[in-house]
Amino acid sequence: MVKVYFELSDDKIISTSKYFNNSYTDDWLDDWAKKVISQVDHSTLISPGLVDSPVLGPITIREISGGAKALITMNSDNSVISNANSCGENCAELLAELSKKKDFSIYLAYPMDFNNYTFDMEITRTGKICHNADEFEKEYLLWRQNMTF
Amino acid sequence: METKYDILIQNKRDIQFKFTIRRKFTILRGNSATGKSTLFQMVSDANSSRFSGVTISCNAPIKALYETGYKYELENESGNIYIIDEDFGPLKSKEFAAIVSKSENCFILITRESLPGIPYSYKEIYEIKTSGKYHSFENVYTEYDKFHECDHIVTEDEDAGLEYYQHLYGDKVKSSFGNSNLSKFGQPDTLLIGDGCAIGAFIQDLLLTKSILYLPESFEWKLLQNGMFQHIADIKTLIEYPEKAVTTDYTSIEKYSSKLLSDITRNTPAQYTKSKLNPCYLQQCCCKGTKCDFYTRSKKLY
Repeated sequence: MVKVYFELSDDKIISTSKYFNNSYTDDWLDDWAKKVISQVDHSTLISPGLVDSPVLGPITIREISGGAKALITMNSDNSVISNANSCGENCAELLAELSKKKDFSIYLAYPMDFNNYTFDMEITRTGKICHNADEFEKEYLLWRQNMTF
Repeated sequence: METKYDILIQNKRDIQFKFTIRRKFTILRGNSATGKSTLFQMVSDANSSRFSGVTISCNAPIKALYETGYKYELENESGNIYIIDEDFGPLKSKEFAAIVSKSENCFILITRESLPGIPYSYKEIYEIKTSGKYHSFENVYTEYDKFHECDHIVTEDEDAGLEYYQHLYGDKVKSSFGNSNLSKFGQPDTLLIGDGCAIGAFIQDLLLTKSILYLPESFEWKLLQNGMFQHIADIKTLIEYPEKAVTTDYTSIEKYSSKLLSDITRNTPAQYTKSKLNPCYLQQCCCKGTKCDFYTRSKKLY
C-alpha cells in the first residue's frame, strides 16, 4: 500500500536526486532497480554504479532520471517519504505495481495519470483508499478545491 | 526584456536541445528520462567553464539558477534567461513567486507542481520530445480558443467580464470569483471561461472536471480584438505577436492588456474600467451621441 501525501512541510520534502546520490548502496541496485532503469530510462544497469544509456552512452548511476531514482528509493528506503513529483507519467505503471508489493509513502502534488493501472493507495489527507485513476483523481481534485491560494 | 528567444544548446557529443521560449515563464514537465535534467546540467556546465564542450546559441544569456544567492542574483540581474531544476527548494514559495514576478528576466521552470503564485500560460507548458540525441519542446495542452455555448457558463471574471458574458448569454452565466475557484464549478455540461495567459497553475484541475474550456488570453485581450481598435498598431502587434508586445515588465498578457486598454480609452467615451463595463463594448456603435476616436457606427463590434 502506498500512502500519498498531497502536502508536506518543507523539512520533510526530499530532493530526489541529491538524496539518492548520497544515500544509495549496492543493495538498492537490485532486480527492481534493473527493471526501473530498463522501463523508465530505456537503459541497462550493467553493474552497481554503471548504466548504459542509448542517448548518453555509459553513465554512472548518479545520472539516471529523477523518476528512476524516486522509484528505486521507494523500494529501498522506508526512512523517508519519497518525492513522487520527480516521477513522470511513464513511472505510473511501476508505482502502481510497487504499491501492491510493499508499504511505502510518497509526496505527490500533481495528478499523475494512472491510466488503467490498478493500485493500493491511501490518501493520508482523508484516509480514503483508492484503487484506480478515477478514485485518485477525485481525491486530488477535492484537495485542490479545498486549498486556499 | 523581450520574451521570445530561439535557443540551441548542444555539446560535443551531439546532444542537442533546440526550442523557442515565448513568454516570461516557461514550464517544462512530462515523462521521466526525456532530458530535462540533462538540459539543466548542460547549461550549468556552460556557465561554469569557458571550455565546457557545451555551446549555447541565444540572443540572451542563459543561466542555471541555484538556491545559494538566488535572491540577490534575481534582484540585481536583468536580461537573462534562467533555467531552474525541479530540486530547487524555494520553487513553490510565495517569496520566490514574488521575486520572479518583479524580476526583469525570463524563466524556464522544470517542475510538475502547479506553482499557483506564478501567472503562467497553459500554452507555455511543454514536454521534451526526443529523437535520438535531438530534443525539442512540444506543447502539453491543446489550445482552448473556441467558445462553445453550454447550458451553464462560469467565468473567472467578476464585474466587467461577468457583465459582458451575461449581456451575451443571460443569467446562465455566473462568476467563480477568481481562477483558483473555477474548477469548483466544473461539470461536463459547463463552459468554464478563464484567462489563458495566467491559468497554467490550474489547467490540470480544470481538465479533471471534464468541463468545456474557453481560455482566451484575458478578458481585456478579448476586448482589444474589438473592431473599434483595429487601426491601432500596438494592438495589432499584441494580437498577432503577443511575445513582441509584452516584455518582462509585465508578469502576463493580462496585465499588459489591462494597461493598454485603460491607456488608449482614457478620457474617451469608451473609457475602460474593470469595475463596470462601459456600454461601448456591448453595443454596435457609440450610444452616447458623441463621436469618439473609436467611432464605429458602420462596424460590428463582436
